[in-house]
Amino acid sequence: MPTLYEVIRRPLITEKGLAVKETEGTLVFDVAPNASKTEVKQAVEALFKVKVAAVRTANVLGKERRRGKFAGFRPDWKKAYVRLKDGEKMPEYVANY
Amino acid sequence: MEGTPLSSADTLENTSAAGLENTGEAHDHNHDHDHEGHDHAHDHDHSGHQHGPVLNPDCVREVKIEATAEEVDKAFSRVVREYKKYAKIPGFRPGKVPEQVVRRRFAEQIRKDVVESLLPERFRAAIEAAGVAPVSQPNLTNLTLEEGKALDGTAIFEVIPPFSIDGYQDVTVPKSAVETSGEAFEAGVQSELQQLRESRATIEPVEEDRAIVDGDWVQISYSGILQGEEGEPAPPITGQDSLVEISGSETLPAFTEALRGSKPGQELKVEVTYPDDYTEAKLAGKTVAYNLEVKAIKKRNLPVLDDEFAKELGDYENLAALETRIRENHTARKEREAEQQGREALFAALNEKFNFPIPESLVQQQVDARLERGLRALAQQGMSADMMRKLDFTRLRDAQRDSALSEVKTSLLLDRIADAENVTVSDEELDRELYMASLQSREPVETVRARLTEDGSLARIREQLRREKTASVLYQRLPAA
Repeated sequence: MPTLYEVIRRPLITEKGLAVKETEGTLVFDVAPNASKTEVKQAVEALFKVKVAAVRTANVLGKERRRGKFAGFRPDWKKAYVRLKDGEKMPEYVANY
Repeated sequence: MEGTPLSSADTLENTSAAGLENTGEAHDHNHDHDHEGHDHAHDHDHSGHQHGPVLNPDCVREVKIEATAEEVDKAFSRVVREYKKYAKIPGFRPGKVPEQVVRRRFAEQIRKDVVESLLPERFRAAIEAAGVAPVSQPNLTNLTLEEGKALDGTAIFEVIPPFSIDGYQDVTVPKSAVETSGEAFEAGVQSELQQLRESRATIEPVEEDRAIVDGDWVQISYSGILQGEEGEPAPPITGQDSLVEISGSETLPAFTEALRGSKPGQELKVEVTYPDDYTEAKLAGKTVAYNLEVKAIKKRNLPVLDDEFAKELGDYENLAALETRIRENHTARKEREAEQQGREALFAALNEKFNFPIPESLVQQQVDARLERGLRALAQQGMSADMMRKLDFTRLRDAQRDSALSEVKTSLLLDRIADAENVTVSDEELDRELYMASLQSREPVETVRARLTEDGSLARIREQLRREKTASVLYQRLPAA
């Protein structure tokens, strides 16, 4: 069982990440690629002391990066949209990031 | 707030020192907003370290710097708006970064900017309200600057203390008389004429076959070996076709003795012991065995003092005109010297009579100026920057302090006397000074003016001119000897 911080690597503080937080009550995280939705749900509930309604995940493929003739890829990673239950207090991680 | 008369850049230098200390504290607050409103006394223990230069306690003034919470907030939000516009943060398009993120990311810079925008303005207001004119950079202590709180701080700086110049008219010193006749004066004029003749002298070979006598110039080749040296013999000191004046003031007597009576073509051996204070350090106090070869005898011809000579020297009608000019120059120089002496004596007397506390920051500025002048002179003599760094600056500063102090005192006195005497410097006078400066730096007048205006030297030059003028006024008023 991975620890909480191995599952949830960091919150994604981007325009979209902050927008869905306002409109849909959803937090966005960079999570471990091998983490399941259930693991993400448990981790968020434990970390922020909130109730999670649903988790959607997306595998993000690493972009190609070249250095001259050598081509490579950035690592793949998993993005998780975590919708909290209605009426849950949104954690304020922006200020502490 | 750019371009405030209070040189904002300089002020900031001081404030940012205080500001940096506080940023740490601001940081803490942003991490945790729960304990707002605790007291700040512990954050500002300044007893352990010294800020800025030493100040003369007799000249120190304090003003409170204050602004309401609303003003502070307004300054903050203005700065944040500005940052929002240009902030580039990954994950956001430029200009789309939420305020919260901007505040978080740029907390330190924002605070610094607020300090820079708010403090100079507040400081100016405070000194105006208090009616004081600082002469040193303000030193800020006990600064509280936070969003949602009133600005509160104390600026400490030096002012020129009020002092009385009553009775400055009574300060007199004996004016040294300028002699424009008499033996000494005539001797001076004659020696100048003689110097002119010598500078125009021509050296001609002597055709007749005769021995060398005093007053001749001899063309010689020489090669000398340093005596009494241990180890490797130094390479011989050689020279071709040097001209030596027999029994001249710049010729060592040993050479004169050896050469006198010899003829061209002759070879001589002579041992010369250089005096210990010889200008060439390598040779001072050393003995050198020379082989000399006399090549030729020459004669120096001084031009005859006549009207022809005068015309050659420049735009002179005849010899009498030249002499008149020399006489005038000589008189002028004597007068300048006398005035210089008189002024210095006068300054000394003024300094003696009036005693008041001198702002230490001005003294230190003067010390800096003196040191800089000294260093520049050293650099011109070929001292490298590395060597300069090795100098003991603490000792140098201490050595300059007394003269700097009396210079500052004199300046302050002259400023006040200038006020009392209504001495002013006209634009034409300033222009003349600029013109001189432009000649010296070989730049167009306008370039010089632009440069000096930019760094504020123009005002300083004007002040300096005013002091000079005041000193002249005072000097003129001295009773004749």
